[in-house]
Amino acid sequence: MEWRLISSQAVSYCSWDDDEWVFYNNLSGDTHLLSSAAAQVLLGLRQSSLNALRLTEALAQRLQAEKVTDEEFSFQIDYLLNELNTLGLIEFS
Amino acid sequence: MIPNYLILQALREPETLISLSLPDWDLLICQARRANLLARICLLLDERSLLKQVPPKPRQHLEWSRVISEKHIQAVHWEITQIRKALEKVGVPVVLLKGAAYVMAKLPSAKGRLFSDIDIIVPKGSLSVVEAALMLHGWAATHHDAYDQRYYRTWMHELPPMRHIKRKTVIDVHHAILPETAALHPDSAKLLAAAQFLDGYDDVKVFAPADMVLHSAVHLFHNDQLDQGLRDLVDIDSLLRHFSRLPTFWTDLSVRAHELGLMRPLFYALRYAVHFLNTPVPSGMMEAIQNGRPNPLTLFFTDQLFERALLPAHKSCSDWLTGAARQILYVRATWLRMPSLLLARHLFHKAFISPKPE
Amino acid sequence: MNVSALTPSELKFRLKKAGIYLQTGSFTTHLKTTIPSVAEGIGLLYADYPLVEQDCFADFHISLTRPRNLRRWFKPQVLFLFDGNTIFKPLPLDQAFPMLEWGLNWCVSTHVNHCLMIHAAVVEKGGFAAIMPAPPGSGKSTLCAALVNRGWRLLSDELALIRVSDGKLIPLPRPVSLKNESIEIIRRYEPNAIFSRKVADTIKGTVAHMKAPADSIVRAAEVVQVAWVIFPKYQAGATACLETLPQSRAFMRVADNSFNYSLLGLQGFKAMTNLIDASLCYDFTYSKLDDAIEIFGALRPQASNNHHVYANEL
Repeated sequence: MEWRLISSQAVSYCSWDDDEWVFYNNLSGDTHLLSSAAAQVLLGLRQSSLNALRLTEALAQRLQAEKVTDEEFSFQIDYLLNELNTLGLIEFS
Repeated sequence: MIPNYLILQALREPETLISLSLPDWDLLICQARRANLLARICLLLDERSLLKQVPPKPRQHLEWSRVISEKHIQAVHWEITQIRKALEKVGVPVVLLKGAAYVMAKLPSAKGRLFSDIDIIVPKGSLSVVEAALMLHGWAATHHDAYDQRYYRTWMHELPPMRHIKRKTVIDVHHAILPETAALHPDSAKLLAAAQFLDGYDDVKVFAPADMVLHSAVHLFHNDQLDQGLRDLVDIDSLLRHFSRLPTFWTDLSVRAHELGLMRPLFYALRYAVHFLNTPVPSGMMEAIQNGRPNPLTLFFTDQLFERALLPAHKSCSDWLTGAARQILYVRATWLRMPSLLLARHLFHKAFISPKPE
Repeated sequence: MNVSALTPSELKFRLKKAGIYLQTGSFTTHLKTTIPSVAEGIGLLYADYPLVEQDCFADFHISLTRPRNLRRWFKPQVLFLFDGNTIFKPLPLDQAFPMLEWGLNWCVSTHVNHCLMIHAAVVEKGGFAAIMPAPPGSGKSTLCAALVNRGWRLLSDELALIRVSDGKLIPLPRPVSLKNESIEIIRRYEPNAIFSRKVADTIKGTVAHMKAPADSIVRAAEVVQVAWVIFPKYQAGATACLETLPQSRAFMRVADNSFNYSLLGLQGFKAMTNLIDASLCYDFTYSKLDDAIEIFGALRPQASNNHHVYANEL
């Protein structure tokens, strides 16, 4: 079971400062203001679908996660993935 | 019999529109907007590569309406994805009706068609599991009034409409295409048994072609809201033109109308489709459904009523009888669906007891 | 020919019979009414607007009438009809002119989909437009009225229309709607400004409309590049303060104030991205109009587009 983007053609985004990103989902028609971490997850899933563990590893580096413990970090990533799922941007399959 | 209204000209022969004067366009835009057919006219012209020849001002109105219809199609797809998710575990295929079916089956009747609710039909025995699954996924009952709830559940062919708490979208879950109390009783089991999976889906179905036409006919001639009457007739016209390519369609249609006891609505549907929209109907077809024809006096009055009420509610399409015609048809539609004692009770209750919405 | 070419009685007669084809910005409205206060309001505030006389095509057909019911004898009302059909609940007859203004806004905001439409006041100076989106009560119209009386061109008091095809702003100069204390504030600020009669007890309190400056009406066909998105907020006693707003935040807030962002789908997202990318975005708090004029006078457009935007399909 892996996380993947709903559809690569359906998601557009823009950002001006890397801190916050605006994502548009052309399937739901909804626009979301996302944190840098959430954007990194989506950009990561653009490459390939991943399970939560692999995703956590990949993101830990990019987000310089040494400040938090592993457990906390993967808990946060899980939470984030569920949020993105609720928004209809990613799905689990 | 019917004056040459611009709206009918536009639907019958869109290619003739390019010679319209600006004041004619002005009137056509008003009529089409009232009939909710502006986007359809835009698409009819665009298919014929004639949109560019429409003067800029009216063209802009056509294009404005197209934006709405494009958004609409996107929203319908998304909504159906959500409904499929919600009903994933119920184990009953979702059978889409009317607008949602046309959109998902990519039928020409979907072009530029706007509608507010998604209609689905499920076996009566599955109603409560479907309702529960929808509630679990965020849809909630809209009619909180105990009378309305009981009215729907006792007499109607559908659950009270359910609205999604976040998206505000409405779904109507039917178990039949006419109320239990109506004089006609098309067998839902037969309709469901003949329903066909949509291309590329294993959980969504639509009615078979003949059944889709019959449902559209039933909907138009047993509906109490005729303000969308012309749009509904356009559905019928468009479905007939599209399905007439199927080799056995017309035979299937008349056989099926007999089988389901829907000769009368089919008779009217064909009569008015031909009359208003020049729908090509094979000559043998009208004879094949002659026993759906009412007696001459009834037919005379029905013609008088529908010839007015099917046109857009715009002053250019109205005469002194139009208002009365719409009123009579409201009572008629309610009458057709319910025996008389019940009718009195419902009208009485609606008039005097139901809380007024603010 | 402008409305001012008609005498009050000619105008009244036309409004009653065939109606007038009134040109506001790029729209033509066919307006009929028998209500005297509406005819007066048109004669006063729309004097400089052109009448379309030939080859009439109206974008919107509206009329203001009195409903035929018993109430007409003791509590007269007014109805707004669009294509001959009621759109809103009737209002007291006294509110007929404000109802016309609200109805005209409704006509545009529910139909015009070749533009991204934002609920905002828009003014222009030196070829660049400032969009001021704001919820009611933020003092956007007050600020707008002050600016257009101090050298800024009025583009619109209520509706920023941003053409999807090229991002240009299409002017729609119409009377500026003022509420409650703002009416007297602007009267004192610009004694020469022309106002419609005050109408009390509307849904928005007491309202009056200020006539759009003649120059802005003449130049209504000149489209403009947007350079600033400014969220005004009136705060009693506050020192005027212009604060940079992160563009992603501005994006979401403008979308929140848009009538059709969501309807436009991907087109809307792209138009909004371009708009925000071309604009400097600010929160603006103020209490004194003169301070606001000074700060607006010092606004400069960004040197070139930011181009920091990463806009892409994944």
